[in-house]
Amino acid sequence: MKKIELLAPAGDLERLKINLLYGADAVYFGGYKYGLRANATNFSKEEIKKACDFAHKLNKKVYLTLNIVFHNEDMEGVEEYIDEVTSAGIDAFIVSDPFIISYIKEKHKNVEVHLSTQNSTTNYEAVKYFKNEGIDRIVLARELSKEEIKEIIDKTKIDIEVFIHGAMCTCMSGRCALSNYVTNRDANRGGCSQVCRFSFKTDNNDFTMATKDLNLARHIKDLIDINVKSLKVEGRMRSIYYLATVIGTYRKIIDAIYNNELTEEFISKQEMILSRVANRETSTHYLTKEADYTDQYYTGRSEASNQDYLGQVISYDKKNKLVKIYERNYFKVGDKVELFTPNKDTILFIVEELFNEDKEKIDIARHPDNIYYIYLDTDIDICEYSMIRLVKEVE
Amino acid sequence: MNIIVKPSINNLDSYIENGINTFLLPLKDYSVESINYYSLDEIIKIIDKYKNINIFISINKNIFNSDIEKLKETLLKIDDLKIKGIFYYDLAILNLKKELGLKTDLVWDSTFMVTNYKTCNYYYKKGVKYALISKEITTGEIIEIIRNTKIVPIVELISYPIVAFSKRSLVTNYYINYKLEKKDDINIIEPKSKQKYYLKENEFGTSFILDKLMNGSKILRELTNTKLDYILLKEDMIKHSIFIECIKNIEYYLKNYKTMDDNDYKNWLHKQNELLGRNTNFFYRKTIYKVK
Repeated sequence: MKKIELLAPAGDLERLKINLLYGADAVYFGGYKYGLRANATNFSKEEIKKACDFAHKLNKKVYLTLNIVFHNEDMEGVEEYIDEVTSAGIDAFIVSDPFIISYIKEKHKNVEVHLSTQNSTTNYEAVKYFKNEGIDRIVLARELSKEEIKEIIDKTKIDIEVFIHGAMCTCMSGRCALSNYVTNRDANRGGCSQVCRFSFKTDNNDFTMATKDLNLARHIKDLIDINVKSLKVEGRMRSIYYLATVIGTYRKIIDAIYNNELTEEFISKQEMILSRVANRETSTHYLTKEADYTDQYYTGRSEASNQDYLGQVISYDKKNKLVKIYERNYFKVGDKVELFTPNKDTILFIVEELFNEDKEKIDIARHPDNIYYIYLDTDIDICEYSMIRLVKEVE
Repeated sequence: MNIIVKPSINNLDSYIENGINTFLLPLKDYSVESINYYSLDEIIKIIDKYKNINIFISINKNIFNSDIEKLKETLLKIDDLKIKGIFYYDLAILNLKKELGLKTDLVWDSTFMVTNYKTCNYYYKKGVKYALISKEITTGEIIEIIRNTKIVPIVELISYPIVAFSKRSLVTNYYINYKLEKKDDINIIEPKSKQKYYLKENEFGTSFILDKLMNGSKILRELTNTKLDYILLKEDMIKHSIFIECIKNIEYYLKNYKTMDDNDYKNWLHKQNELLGRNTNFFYRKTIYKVK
């Protein structure tokens, strides 16, 4: 049985590699132009080629966002750009403008076109319209319930992609120009300044409308059961630790479902891991009920920085049993930590011996961005892009 | 050039007396981002009462599966009314026009998305007759669209701008949080920019309306040099007497602009600015999207 696709966001080549190594089946990213994250690092044409080569060697796919709302001036050169990146090996474009859709379908019959969530597609008649236009997949609006998604799939038989994790907009996608008006940054051309996370005032009180993040970890089986084709994680500007954790966790959940190994204990543990990497509270928003009072924040920004991420593994010296890491957060001898690898292996251990870059024994790794060595005796293959995180006693 | 008025009162006499014969009426149960709505029965009564007027109906809500069967019935009823057109946001309407064989013309009204002529031409080929151009682009961009599209463009010239729409009940949620008596609207201010918004909620969600009147009178001179057929004036939140005065001024300009010299034009514009303020929205202000 073909498994449901896990689709991950890549802000740059390193994130793309992390996502694919940690279990994503496909990645999406933007080029220097035409994507809705104008201020992410994004990909040059050469990087797009490298991304395609890297992914295809792993038998995985790459999707390029081309989902801005085009102004007249943006149309200049876009056709040539599409032609170039298609030849680099893109598997699909994520598009919102129907003129661009028609151009790709006419000129590049072998590349898929996915309709962006920017179009806020919320019903089966709109889906039928785009299906007739040759669209291969629709990324549905995030304002839909499971029953509505199922009805759309049943009535249209088209591939459907849904968001399962990450930040949510307060307003309907494509139907918000708050950023344009308040900060002069065009939301629909990739400049969104997230005004919906600003604190406003009424005559007497603060007024906030920021939403909690989306987390559908507990509902993945439901989405598989109703024949959703792709599960999308939001976050092209997120850290590599966040991506490795979120993508690795969803990979485990999906595999557990297909292997009939999904238990309450297992899903609770995965939810705990996801909650530790998040900087906001989460909710299922519209999937299981109409979004309501409980899905928002009311006291301004409520975001915590995460200091669980201790560092990225650079290499493992099997002979001397030393893990070389690039440190990101303070830790010390005696801390309980977990090393996790792209191969889904995890090693839980107490830091017993710690060394600085000159291999002098120390008690505390105080300085982020420095190299440290941790003693670890293991037979597990600790490969590049493994990571180490702090384990709190509650786990 | 013709004027389309989106009125805020049901009695259209005062508009018609001042030369207006084309109206945009938001349809109750299928429309958002307005202060008042008209049921289909009310629209039928208006059509019966005023014989020589043109009616556009707005169906601009996001359509959900549960809306579709009733929407089909409604569209078929509208088709019998021989109205001028339907302003639509959701592509379901375009698909249903084809499926049901509707004769009523459509107006592409995807608010912030109507920003280039190639996509206007795409929809024209799909049978869409009109497009309401985004008010978040510059005058130069608007004119480029008008000059290069086959679709019939409409420019929103006077209105309190609709800035966003959320499916969430943001006003209700606010009153619940502060344990206050529930209302369906609220005024908010963004402290840094000092921008004020009026939030109006109905059963479909919450509309954000900028509390600063957009006055596009200044671009009218440039628009009259193009082949633009329609301008749209929205009365929502504007005092009726001021709105009528504004209509009179614009009617005067459209009748006399060919013989107006620079001084006449300056005086006319001054009068409009005194009446409506000087907020030209994005007509002379280009947005950015890269900040690095």
